[in-house]
Amino acid sequence: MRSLIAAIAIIAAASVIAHADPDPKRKVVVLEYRSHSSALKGIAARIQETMGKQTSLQLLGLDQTRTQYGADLDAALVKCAGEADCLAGIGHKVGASDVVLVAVSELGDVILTIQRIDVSQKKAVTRIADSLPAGAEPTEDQINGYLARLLAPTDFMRYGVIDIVANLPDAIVTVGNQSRGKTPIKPLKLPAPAEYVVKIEKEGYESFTSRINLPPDGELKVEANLSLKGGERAWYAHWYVLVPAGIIVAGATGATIYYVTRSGPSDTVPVMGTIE
Amino acid sequence: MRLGLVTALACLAACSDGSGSLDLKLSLPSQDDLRPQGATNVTVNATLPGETPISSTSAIEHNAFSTGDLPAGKDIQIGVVLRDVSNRIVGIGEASDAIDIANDKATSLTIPVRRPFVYAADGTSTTAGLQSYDPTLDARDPKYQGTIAGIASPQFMLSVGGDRLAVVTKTQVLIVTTATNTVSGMVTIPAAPKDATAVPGTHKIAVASTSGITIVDLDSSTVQTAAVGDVDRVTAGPDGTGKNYAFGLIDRVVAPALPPPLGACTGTSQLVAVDVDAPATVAPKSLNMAVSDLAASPDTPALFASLPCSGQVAQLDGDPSNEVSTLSLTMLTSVERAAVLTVSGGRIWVAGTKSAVPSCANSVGDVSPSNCGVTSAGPTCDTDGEPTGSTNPVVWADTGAALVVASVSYDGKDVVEVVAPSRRQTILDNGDTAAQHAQDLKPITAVPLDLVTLPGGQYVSVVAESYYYIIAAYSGATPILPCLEYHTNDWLLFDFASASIAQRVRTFCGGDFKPTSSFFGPWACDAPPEAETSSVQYKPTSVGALFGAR
Repeated sequence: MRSLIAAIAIIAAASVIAHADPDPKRKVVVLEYRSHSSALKGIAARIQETMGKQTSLQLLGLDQTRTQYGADLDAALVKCAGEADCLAGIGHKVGASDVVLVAVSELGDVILTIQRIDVSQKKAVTRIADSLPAGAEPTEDQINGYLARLLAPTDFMRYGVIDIVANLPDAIVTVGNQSRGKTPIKPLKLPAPAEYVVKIEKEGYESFTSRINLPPDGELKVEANLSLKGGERAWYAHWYVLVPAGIIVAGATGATIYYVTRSGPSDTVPVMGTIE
Repeated sequence: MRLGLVTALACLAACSDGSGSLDLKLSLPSQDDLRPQGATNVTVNATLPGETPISSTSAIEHNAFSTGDLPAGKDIQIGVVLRDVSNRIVGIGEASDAIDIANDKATSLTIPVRRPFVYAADGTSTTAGLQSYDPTLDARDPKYQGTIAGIASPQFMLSVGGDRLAVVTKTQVLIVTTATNTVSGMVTIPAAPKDATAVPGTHKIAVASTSGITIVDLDSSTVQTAAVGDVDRVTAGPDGTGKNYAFGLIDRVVAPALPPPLGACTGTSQLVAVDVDAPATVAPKSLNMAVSDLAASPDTPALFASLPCSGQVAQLDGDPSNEVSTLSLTMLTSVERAAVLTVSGGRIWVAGTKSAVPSCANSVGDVSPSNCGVTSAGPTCDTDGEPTGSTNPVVWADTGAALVVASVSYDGKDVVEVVAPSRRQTILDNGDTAAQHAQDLKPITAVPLDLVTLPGGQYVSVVAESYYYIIAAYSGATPILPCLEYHTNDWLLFDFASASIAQRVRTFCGGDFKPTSSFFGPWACDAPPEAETSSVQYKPTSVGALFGAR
């Protein structure tokens, strides 16, 4: 409650207390604190979900934090009453670098405050506050705006890695219409998510082409076995061949990972499942 | 919302035009202690015959998931891995049989998913029971170690599809249902087992004994024995036609415990190949070399051997099932004192020992490693704490022995080696009320007794035994410090991602001090750190893992 009052005092103002370039893959806990309000149900989960889409941060929601912290997390959260140093203690216990506290209260309007607490400094480095009409929900654009002010700009830069391995040296590698040198070639760190066309060419051999959807924080391995021209058509030149490239490393962000495949009619099936 | 994103991302890659789908039901145990906890993402692995496995991962939302596409086809082996938010494996599942996936109809599949428990047993004990370790938990968690009730004299533990664990005891094969960790069936075997292995792609196990090789079908409870002689070790895998064989090692040469030049290592081993579907008596073939262990690839016709005397891993060439074919060994890589090995994930995993450097005393009492020879006495003491024997006796370890585990590609070119730091054992003077007088010993032997790879290939579990020795210290005729002869047994988990020991439990420590009348004493093992303390004192001789390869 004490920090809530402080937050109300800065309604509609983004107060950036400190600005550095923190690790874009650091662990961040997203917690929700309510002061006698049932408005904006699931707002912390929405904010966490948007953070998950836009950043590479390792995010822990309330349930995941409870798993690590213990069943008394909720009591500890209430006891902290929004105090940064107290909340930093929760973050420290679960090994997080930041705690994002989403607080909801009502003062006529619904008051939404979001603060990012640096666990090591034990203080809020950014605070956002907004007032919303009763019954209204923040739009996606509004949440994007909150996060743009809450997080460091470097948190929104995401990359993936394409590791290209060919069976022959000196084959020319082109990725996204840019020449990247000749094989053997070091893994390429590229902005993601994005689609890239990988082409590997060598005179006298069938060219290898693959269209890749590179997800953020994923590492795709493209293995190209170039075949001599003139013989049977190279196996990878057939339409039905699944190009043998796949993500070999992925972060714990939960983003979908998939193999690089040909476009067009598919011999593949979607996989769904339930846990019982 | 997240689920929608997941699906959308998946479809960026390739969405099927047909109406086909693969609908998975992951069946988890209902008991909290057995049920995988904290899973946040799932990886579905599909292996088509002769193809590189294909993986697809997605987040789990409200106990449901939707991953990217997987190829349709026949005889596809499906497996799943559940990970928590820190990417630690918390659950593993494998379909019990390969399935056909059509791209024009829905395919449903139920997969049992379990925590990747590791099991260890003391084959010489009638009281220790079957011990379990849960590597998904912190080592200090009270549920990290456990004892599975109702199993007496376990010898070997084999994962059969994950939903069942076959525990080979001295007289029976017990079938443990892993959803409840209760015994659900048993099959009597004709002789005490010396080794056992699961037959890949089947629900059968092969048991080695003095009677030969026994094939046990866990579904039909049938038992067939091929009387091929006294078999020490057994492994199973396919030949070039896909037919499964159980390969038995006869006249096994155990990796010597003592370091060179103390321990002699000689012998010639033999191999016998038994058709799993039609076990019959066949003649063994000489390998013309000392072999400590065999391991067959589960999916390709390849058989590997560990050679303890030359310290090498070799591939066996020739057709063991062909009576007129000769056998030869092709060396792949060096692993000192190679003792045990297995094959998993297209790689060979072998455990050996970086030998200790012993120090020995010569006839005038000078101590040096250079005084040691094959005929050196010890390392044991008489009742006065003096070395037993008079020929350049061993007095202590100058450099301690260390365990080594290597992962080797089939062609031997890609070798990853993890050497465990040579551990030391503190023996405390219990007569010192301050509990500060101590001797800090280096192991003169460290022998891996068994190993198993955990699913995923990142972790390898090893059980090992070490021996610590130092002679008594005298001041004139008065013994100040006694000779110490102590053994420890350990269960270890090697992490190949970080090239380190991820977890370790000291399961036993005990020994003798001589003379008992020395100035300091009596002596006893120092307690290990909390995370390394065993809930049961036992000497594990074998290790197994759910979904693991042994």
